[in-house]
Amino acid sequence: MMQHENPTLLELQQWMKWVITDPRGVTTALTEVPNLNLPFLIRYLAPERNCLGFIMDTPPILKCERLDIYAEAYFTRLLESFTADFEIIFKVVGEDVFSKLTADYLKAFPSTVPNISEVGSHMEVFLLGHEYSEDLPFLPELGRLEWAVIQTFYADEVPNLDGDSIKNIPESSWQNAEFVIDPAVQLFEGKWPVDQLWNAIDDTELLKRIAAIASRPTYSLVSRRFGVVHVEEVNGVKFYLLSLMKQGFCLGDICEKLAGLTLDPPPLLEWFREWIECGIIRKIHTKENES
Amino acid sequence: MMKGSQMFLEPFSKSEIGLGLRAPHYSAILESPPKQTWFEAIAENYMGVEKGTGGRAIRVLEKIRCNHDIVLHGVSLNIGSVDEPSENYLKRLKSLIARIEPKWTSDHLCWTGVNGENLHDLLPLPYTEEVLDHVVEKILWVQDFLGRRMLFENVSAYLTFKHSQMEEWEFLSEISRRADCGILLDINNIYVSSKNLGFNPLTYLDHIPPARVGQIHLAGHSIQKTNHGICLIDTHDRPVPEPVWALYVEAVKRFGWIPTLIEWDASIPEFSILAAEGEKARNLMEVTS
Ligand SMILES: [Fe+2]
Repeated sequence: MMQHENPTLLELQQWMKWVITDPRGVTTALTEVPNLNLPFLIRYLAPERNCLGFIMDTPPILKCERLDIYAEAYFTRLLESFTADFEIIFKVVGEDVFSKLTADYLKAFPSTVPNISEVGSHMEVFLLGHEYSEDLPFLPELGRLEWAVIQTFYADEVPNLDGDSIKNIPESSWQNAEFVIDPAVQLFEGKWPVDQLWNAIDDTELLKRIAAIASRPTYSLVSRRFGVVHVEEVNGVKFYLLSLMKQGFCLGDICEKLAGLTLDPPPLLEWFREWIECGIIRKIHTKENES
Repeated sequence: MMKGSQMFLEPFSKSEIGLGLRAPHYSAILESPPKQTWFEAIAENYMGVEKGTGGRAIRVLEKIRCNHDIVLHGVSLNIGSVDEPSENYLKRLKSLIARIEPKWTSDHLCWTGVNGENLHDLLPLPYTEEVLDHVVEKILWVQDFLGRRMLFENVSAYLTFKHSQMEEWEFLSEISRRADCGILLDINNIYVSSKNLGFNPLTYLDHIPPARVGQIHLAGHSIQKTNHGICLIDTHDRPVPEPVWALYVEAVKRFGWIPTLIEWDASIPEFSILAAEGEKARNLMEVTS
């Protein structure tokens, strides 16, 4: 009989993965048929080969208790990582909901990545269809922002723009100059001012602000300075200008596109100086420095 | 295929001690670099994300690298899984190795996921001939890909399988011989497993080929009550307990001087407390070896 043969390594690993990742717990997973209406039902269904009989009985601790140790370690490690990486969602929804949210997330998007900080990359998509977002409709955007912060934190590093190289650019070359934006910079556009939540992380009044959060178009700049991630709201013109620079438009084209957008001409020079100083602009390509 | 004599790269000088590198200690280490200390960095913490390999962590590691030797310790190689080795993971590991130039790189003799999923947990293998062949083949492939030998660590175990055909120490030793890799012997893990599974930890030490042991880990564990008894959990959240120090002395008697490292991953104390644990290991090593 097939069932008396030792399980293959694949059967054993698939079974063990199933039993320790079932959010209902090891004992329930082993004894109760899952509710057929559960989302991601496929992940609750036991693999064909039951391998419980191949775990050694080592009294006094039961096999279930032994499996529980692995189940707990699996979930605790991921919950701790999510709590650190999605700190604002954690504070907004509270500990119990966050724990359930993490369990649900792992069913929808189990980790396939080596760095545990990457596991939450689908947070926005996950929250978009989730019941938690019905009462807190800004939650998916908050998930996107917190993932953006992680990406900015880990972005590649490039050297600062050397001030002398700007002085050496002849006036005639500026028209065709193109700008390289720091790889850590992300332009965050949304329907909710979630940047306010991010910046109020240590504020005890945070929850009151959350209750008052209202939908409005928001433009934010996510950047990294001296290893620290900053999220700041920027006005629409600045945001548009940065997005044109990121897309590789030259200064001449950028000015053309900006003309007529505002009553007063935007203080471009001042903004450029600020962005060069804080490392948002990392390089300026001109005919001279390309040759 | 790499051929080699007894061990892996040049070892550290005998007065040096290893400490697990953890973020809360970055500033203490940079402000006053501890003498005669090397660090073990968790590889995945410095790999970045898919689209970025920078950030504070890798920059700090590069700075620390200027004053101290580094070894890399991975947790996601998944060497015991039926899955093929992940090329994406190995490429990232290889570029990290090229950037940091560690003295050596290690991971765990276990599986961490299957069907492409990563459970971020160190899971036990059945010790069968078939699994042995499979793991040896994977290690050989990985070592060739990385162009270097690796060390593999025994993990804490909370269960065993009925169909295992050999003991863990036999499996680990045979792996090291056939895959020509090193052993990272975690003394705390041996102790924890011996209590959880009921074997004599000295028997474990007696069966490990001394020439294969390239590094030792020491750490603390916690005690967890279940409804039917007590289990030791490999939590790395406290000082090395006395029975683990005693087992360490036994290991040093058998293997002589081996680069030794203190791991501390949760409830992380001030750096000085971690360093004092390292000092204790150094003294024990000196008087025993
Ligand atoms: Fe260890």
